[in-house]
Amino acid sequence: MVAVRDVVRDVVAEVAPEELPLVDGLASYDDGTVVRRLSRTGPRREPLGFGWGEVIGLATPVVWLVLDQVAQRLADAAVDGTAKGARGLLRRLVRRRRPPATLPALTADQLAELRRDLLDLSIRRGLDAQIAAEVADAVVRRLDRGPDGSPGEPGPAS
Amino acid sequence: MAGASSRVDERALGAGTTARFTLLVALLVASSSVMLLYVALALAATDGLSCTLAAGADPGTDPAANVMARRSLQWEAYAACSDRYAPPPSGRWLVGWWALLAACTAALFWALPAWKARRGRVVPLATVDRDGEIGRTVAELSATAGLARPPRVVVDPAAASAGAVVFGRTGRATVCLHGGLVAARTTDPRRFRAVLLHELAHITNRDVTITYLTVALWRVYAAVAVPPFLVWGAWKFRTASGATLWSAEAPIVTRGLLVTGLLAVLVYLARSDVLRSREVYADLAAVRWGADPESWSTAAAPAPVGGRGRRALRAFAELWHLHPRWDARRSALADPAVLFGVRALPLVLTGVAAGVTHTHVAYAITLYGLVTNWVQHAAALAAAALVAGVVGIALWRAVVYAALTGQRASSSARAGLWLGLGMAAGAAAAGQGTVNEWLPARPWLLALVVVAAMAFTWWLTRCAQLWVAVWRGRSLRGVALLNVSAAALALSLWFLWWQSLGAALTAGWSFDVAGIRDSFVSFFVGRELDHPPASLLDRAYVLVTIVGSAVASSPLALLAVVALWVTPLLAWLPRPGADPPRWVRDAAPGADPTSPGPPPPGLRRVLVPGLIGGAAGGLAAVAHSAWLHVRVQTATSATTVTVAFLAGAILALLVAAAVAAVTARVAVPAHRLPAALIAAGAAALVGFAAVAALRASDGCVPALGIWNVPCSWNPAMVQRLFPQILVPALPLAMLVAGAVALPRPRAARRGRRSFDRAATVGGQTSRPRSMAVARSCALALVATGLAVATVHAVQRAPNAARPLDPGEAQRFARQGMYVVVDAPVSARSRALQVEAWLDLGGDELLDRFYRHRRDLFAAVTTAVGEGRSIDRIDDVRPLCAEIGDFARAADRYFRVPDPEADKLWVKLVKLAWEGSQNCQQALDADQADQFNTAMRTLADAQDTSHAIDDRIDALMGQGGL
Repeated sequence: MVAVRDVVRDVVAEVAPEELPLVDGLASYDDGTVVRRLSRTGPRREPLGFGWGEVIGLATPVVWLVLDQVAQRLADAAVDGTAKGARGLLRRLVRRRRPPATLPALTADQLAELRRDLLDLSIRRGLDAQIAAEVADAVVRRLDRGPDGSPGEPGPAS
Repeated sequence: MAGASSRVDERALGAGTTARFTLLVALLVASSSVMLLYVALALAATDGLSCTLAAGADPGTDPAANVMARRSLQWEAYAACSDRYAPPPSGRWLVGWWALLAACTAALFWALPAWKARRGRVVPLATVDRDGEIGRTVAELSATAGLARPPRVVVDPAAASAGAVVFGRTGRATVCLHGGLVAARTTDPRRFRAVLLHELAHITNRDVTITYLTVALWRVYAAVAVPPFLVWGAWKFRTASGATLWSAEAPIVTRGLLVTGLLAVLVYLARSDVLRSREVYADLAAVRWGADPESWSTAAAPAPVGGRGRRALRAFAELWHLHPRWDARRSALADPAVLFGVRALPLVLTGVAAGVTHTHVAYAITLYGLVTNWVQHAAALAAAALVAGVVGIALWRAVVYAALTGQRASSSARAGLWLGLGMAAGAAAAGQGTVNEWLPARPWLLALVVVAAMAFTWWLTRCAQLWVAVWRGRSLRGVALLNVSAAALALSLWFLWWQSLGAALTAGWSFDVAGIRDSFVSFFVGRELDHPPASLLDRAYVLVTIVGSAVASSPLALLAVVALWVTPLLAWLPRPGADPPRWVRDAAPGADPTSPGPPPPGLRRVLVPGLIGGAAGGLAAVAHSAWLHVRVQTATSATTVTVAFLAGAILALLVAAAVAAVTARVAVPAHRLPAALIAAGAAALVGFAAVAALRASDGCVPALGIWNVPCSWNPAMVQRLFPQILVPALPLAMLVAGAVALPRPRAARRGRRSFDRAATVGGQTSRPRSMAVARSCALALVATGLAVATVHAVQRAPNAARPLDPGEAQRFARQGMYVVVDAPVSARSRALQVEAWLDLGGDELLDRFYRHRRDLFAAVTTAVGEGRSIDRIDDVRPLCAEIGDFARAADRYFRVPDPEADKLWVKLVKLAWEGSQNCQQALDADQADQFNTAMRTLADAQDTSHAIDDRIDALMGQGGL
């Protein structure tokens, strides 16, 4: 198992090191907050801002959102839906921090699907196609290496 | 003149932001106060409508003019009725409401920064700035921006935009960097610095406090003030829409709700408009501090070009944005023309805001019975100062920009048109001129509002052009303030006139020319004269005097009028110089050092037309005296002669003003409005001196004598003529001068161009020669003008602090100020009126008479039964006196709103009074016969009161009550 936030940090350090301060900033939130905040894409209409609408393509939100989505999907498969709903509601009520999302080792099919999702969201979030491919490759490479970042068994996707 | 290489500094003159925000605050406070009053009146179950019904008005079908007239003609009774049955909510409510709004606003203002900087939304800078590089950059740029210490910086790591935002208070601001910007710091450091400098500029430009204070006030208004009012509106529609008099209330309720919706849009648009200009100021400051202008180029693609419809749609959408378009921001960096322009939207919004605010404040003043001249003028002055602050600064900036760049100045007429349309819309939406109706009876009079606004912007622009051309000091702020203050004072007269007379005229107010003429004439002569039918001259005289007296009732009226020509006259006093003006060097460092605008000609060219006009006025006064001298010999009516004298003397002063203005227009073509006003003002004063001299020496020149008195010098006459002739003539003289100075059609203008140039050049050369004499004359003229204004202020001040007594107001109304026009009344309405008359005091009065008469008769019967004679029944005297008191109270109460019943009511009051007086006199003189007559009279009165009861019962029966 590997924590999503660790994968994000490693990937960003590799492909977009200028975004590392953002990862540092986001690291002070629990995963639920991070995902909620990163999911918002609309421009902010604030007085005395520099201007609205000049959203730039960042790798961090793409990687974090897709990995969290995969982690949630895999975790949900093992948990009863009703119980999950009740827990979610309870968590909202008491605002308990969500435990860090983790990813198990992924199969080749899962990695391929993950790569597609990454490319898809990258394009939607305004990332350049070449950078999007670099990001997707970096994520797949990082997950291939296992939890501690050391090279693992050659994965089915390679 | 400044070219492309010498950009005009946007700080050449204040931006006027504070005035614009203050206008919004005034609008929100006035509007929420009126909302509270509406709701509080509804909660207190006050009944203002019944007093109107009892006064004989039918709010459902009577035109607004009749509602006003019927109330005014019985103002004593109406005021007493309103005090008793429809008192305004205690002033403490209003003060408490303001305190609540202020407390909520303050709480929200303090809470907003904490909410925006809460944990979970942003992180401290230290969390993301491990090496301290961002902190060092912030400190460095803060020093560049002139901040004593760097602001607090937080980071929103989830925000993908490469922007930032500042919030909090100017003294304790927080800059929030968006995640995208932090990421861009290493890839695009120029952009990082540009954005940061822009945000720091907002702090330096003092935008933060005022912006978030407005945000807080707006949210409190929407969340605290509006909901109870909407509930009130819904409740009214639900409960009252079936009522008989709903047709009278529906326009008021609907307009109230409409204005609330309008305000929401208005405040949002006005705030967005101000914020857009603040962004450009911040951009310019950032670039001045070293931000790379290229950072603005990379921000976004230029706006796509489309068809006319698409462009209009885009322009409409942009009105709601908090930031200007990127291409507009980029071009403003090269040429900040956008900050010096006079645009339609802010003008319209300012006009609407001022119209609504002034109407609301005037409503509250009337409701609380605070109607004194000072209070009314203070309200007008507040509205005018807000308009002048916003529009005056905008116009001044436009004039300065045009002067520095050599471009054509924007049209003051267009600016006035937009402002006037806004003012008219605001006033009409808030209910001025409509009272209980949907539309005013004379909607075309709203055009006067537009004309007044156009005159205001025209005067301001022309004076600004004059001052900009002559001023050589370091800053224009002082002269701009003088000019804008004078404009505010003049505009306050307009608001005052409109509120006291214009709105009533628009609502259809009618007056009796002969009645008003007679009251003016008897006031002047000191005794009642004859009452001939009204002539055309009477009509003109009454109109002029009514209009003039409504304006002149304020002690500051003449000061405002005199300021219209003294302000431009002062521009001739500074000594001309050969060097470029110092303010030009600061405002546009690379500008060509020639004079910014056409230099005014010598002072003599302005003063001589005044003298020529004055001489013409003197001749007119002599001719008028000679004509009147002949007329007096054959005239049969003293009233007609007096009107002919007063009107003729005013006309002589206007002739003086017109001749002076025409001469000045020819002599000073480059600054013709200021010159025409100065000349007209001077000529009117000289003309008045001639009229006063003729009358003070009446009889010394036989052919010019009017009053058939022996020759003597009578200086007291000047004092009598001053309020009757000079005071109404001076405002009119300014109107005449303005009309003369109006621009001519283009074809006529072309022919004059060569002469205009010659006149301007000639003036320049003649200026230094006789400067000392001319300056002394100008100073004397200024002193005379101010002395006249002061005399007027001193004369009016005692009355201006006194609220109008209801009895006095009623007397004015009955002297012809109000006339009821014929309008049919349905049986139902008649029944409601007499019912209201009974309920609000009529029934009580009839009962009172019945009881006193019964007790009196019982006491007399007992005394007679005891065999007492007239000299031993003094104990019944108090009962007789009480019937007299009843008659006095009945006389102060409403007349019965039915002609037949009213005849009986008048008879009852008369009989009761006679009976009471006879009774007391008979007891004093021990006259048994007179006492018996008194008792018979009171018995008659009793029968009459029964007849009134019967008639009212019949009317109520016919009306289905």
